[in-house]
Amino acid sequence: MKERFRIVGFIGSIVFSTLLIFLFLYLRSKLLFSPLDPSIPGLDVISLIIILGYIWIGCYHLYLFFYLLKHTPSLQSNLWKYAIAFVFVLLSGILLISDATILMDIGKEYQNFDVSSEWILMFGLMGFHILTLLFSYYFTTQLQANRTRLFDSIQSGNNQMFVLTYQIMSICGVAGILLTGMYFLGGWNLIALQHRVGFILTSSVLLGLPLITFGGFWFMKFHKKPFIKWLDEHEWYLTTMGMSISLIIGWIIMAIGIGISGFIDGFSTIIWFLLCVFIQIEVLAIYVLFQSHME
Amino acid sequence: MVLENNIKQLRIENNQMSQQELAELVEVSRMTIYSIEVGKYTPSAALALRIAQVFSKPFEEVFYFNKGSEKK
Repeated sequence: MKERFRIVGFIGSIVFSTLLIFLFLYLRSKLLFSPLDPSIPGLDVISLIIILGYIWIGCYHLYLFFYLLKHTPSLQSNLWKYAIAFVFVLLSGILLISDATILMDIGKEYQNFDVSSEWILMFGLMGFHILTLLFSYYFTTQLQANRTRLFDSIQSGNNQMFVLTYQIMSICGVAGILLTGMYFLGGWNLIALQHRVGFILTSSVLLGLPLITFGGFWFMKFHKKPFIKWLDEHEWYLTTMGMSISLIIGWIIMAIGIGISGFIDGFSTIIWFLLCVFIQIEVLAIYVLFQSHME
Repeated sequence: MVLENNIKQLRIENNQMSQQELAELVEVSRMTIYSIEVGKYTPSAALALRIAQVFSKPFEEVFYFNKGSEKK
């Protein structure tokens, strides 16, 4: 992967993101509650630009993911920063699907319902995409050039991925606890949740991210070995110990939640369950990271 | 009784072998070698024997019980 792709992809993505924000502002001023169909000049061109923009930004996210994956084996320091970049790129990339769902919702509902909160969500998501692009671009400039091919680079790499996977898991755990905790404390019920698509998608991405990184890297590195040999005995020991502790803690939290739900009306068991899973992930990650610390 | 070891000393005696080099010879991560050396992790019999073989030493010269640290 050549360096110029990274620069061209970045500039193109920033240009498209900015353009999309202006187009959304324009559309928001035109798509108003009205019994008449709005007449928007150049709607076909606008739609085409939006589709092209999302394809470009989506492809660049995919490029960034492989770029980060390729540089993993040569990494010696900055692991936490690297883990944050990984989470941002994957989360932002997968949330592009959420953008499309919200845009379709706006298109279907603007004549009958107030869609101002959908627009706020759209601008929030675009802000997150731009932040991801800026951060990941800055971070990739810090990495040393790696001219080997992705597959060869991973094959000959070291075992930084073990710690990195748990760092990614820890970041996802914290983000998941904040997200579900916010919804839980807000007293929102998942059934009645206005933005449940965005919430469910974000939660599933945060839960799936460590698996994607684990699977993506280790499958490429060890696909010829049986699964049990992907980690050495000490890494398996830490993983199983962490899982046992997190299982017990999650078990207790789940039991408390189910008990409370019998006494409090409007207690959302599903969001409590999600919160519990994120706490388990965080406990597992913290245990392994604490135990694998080297001086 | 706590299982202790002479791995660090044996590495130094073997041309200043690094933790990474030993890890590659016995097919584990450097973190695993570090954890064994500092006593955070007790290796399996198979791994302990492989480490002893790398240094061409009998098992009991690499790993030993420290009776002094036994809890009373």
